[in-house]
Amino acid sequence: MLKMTNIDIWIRHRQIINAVSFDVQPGAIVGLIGPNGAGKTTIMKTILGLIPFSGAVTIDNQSVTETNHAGLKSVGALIEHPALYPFLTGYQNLALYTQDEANLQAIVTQLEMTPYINRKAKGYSLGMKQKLGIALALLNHPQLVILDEPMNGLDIDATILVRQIIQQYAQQGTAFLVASHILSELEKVVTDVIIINNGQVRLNQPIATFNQVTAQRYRLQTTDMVQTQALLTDQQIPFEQDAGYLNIAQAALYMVQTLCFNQQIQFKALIPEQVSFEQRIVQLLHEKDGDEHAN
Amino acid sequence: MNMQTSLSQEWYKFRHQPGPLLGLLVLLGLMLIMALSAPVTQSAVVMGFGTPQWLLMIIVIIGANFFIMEDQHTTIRTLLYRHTYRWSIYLAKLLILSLYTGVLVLLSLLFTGLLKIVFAPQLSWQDGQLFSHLLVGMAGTFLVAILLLTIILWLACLFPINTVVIGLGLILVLTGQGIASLTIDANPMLTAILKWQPLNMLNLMAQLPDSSYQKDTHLSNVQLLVGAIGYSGFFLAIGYWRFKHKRV
Repeated sequence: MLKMTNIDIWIRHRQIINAVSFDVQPGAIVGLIGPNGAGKTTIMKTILGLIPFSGAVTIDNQSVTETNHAGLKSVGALIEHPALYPFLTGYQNLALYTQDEANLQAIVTQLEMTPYINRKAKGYSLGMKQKLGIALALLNHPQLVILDEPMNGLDIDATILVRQIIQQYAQQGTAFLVASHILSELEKVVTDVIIINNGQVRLNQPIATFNQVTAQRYRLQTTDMVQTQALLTDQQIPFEQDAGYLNIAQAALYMVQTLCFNQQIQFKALIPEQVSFEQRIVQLLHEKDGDEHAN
Repeated sequence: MNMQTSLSQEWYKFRHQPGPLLGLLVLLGLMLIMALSAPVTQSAVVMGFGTPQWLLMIIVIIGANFFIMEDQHTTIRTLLYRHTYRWSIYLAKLLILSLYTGVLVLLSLLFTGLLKIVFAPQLSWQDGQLFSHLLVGMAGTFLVAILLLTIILWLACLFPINTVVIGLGLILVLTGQGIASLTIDANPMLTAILKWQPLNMLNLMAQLPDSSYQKDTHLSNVQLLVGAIGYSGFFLAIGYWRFKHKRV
């Protein structure tokens, strides 16, 4: 579907994007994650042929450049803010770009915009504008949809609704590239994760692989906590006490197991410390930053 | 998207804005005030009750707003990525504004006729070729308005800020002809070059119905016509070049 190959972007003698390459397959929902200024929006604008770049962007094997947008016929996008004409109604904003009236009506119904679709967009709340921006991106049965912070300004109901619609479109083969700072929402919907920092792709893998992270620490409870602590201290194994548990590193787990077994101490509980999606992302960004500084 | 789609989209946006209708009403209102404020003379009719001056001001404001609104509302991104080629957007906007200018000229011509009938029935259309001078003057106004539009679109690409472009446009309308005459008079050795400056082409609308202006412009009607068309092409080209390389 979408293929970005070795993209470099320089703005005012500063490299903003550095050798970025990735693919987005039909039906995939790819989360583009990174801190502010990492280059997410720039990558999205590059795909839309809005800024000059070196490298190659192809959509369905059709090349996209700054001057040729023929490959963008079946692409919808919401970049940064919903782009609306305030003097037009919501319906008219959609009618301006629609090629299929029935499709327009279906999207309005799907996004539950019927009560206000015939009101001028200048009177819309932030959430209404956001929904209209998403509706514009979904017009005309796109094969690729690019959404930059789609959940901005949406209430809980609308957030759930948009998530469901994204999944529904993806099941029908539409590919999504979604950037969001609301990682908990992103986690619920993405099939793949791309982490970007300082204009470079730091990680690109399916969400299933990303989530298969071995717990780094374990919480341990034994039949004799006092003796276990003494054993760990004797063997110089680092641990922390935490609400009736001993918190140990994964690397020390087998050694602790053997020590306890030898002393006839049984494990009562061994709980891997769950690392949230958010924590994992933050950890990765810091790890990569550390590597970079070390180099 | 092809040119036809671009034109239909730009027309859709244009006709849903309140500005163009308001511009027309203001033009007709100002013409009426001109007719009421002094005895109607042959010269007032030939000049369409001040049509050239009012029309150019309205064109500056409507043209700048119509182009810069895309940056103001950030719709420029959608506009650019949804169109295969940028030239179709630029040209469609210019064509819609030119069409609007044509409509304004036509309606002000009809309204001039109506005002003459009501306020100066004693004047004959044949006296001093009143009707032909009016027609030629309106044609000149239309051509100057197109030249001004190409300049406004170019300025809008350079400085996508309403007030700046409208301010510069109004300065051109109000002082352009005067500056042209002043620079030519102040540099008699350079008249052969300075008479071809773009500001001098704004005199086309005044000179076509009144040849006495030739002593100020130092150009014949045909030369002014060629100059106005040539500069329209030039500003269209540099405006599009700027738009083509616009970063959003």
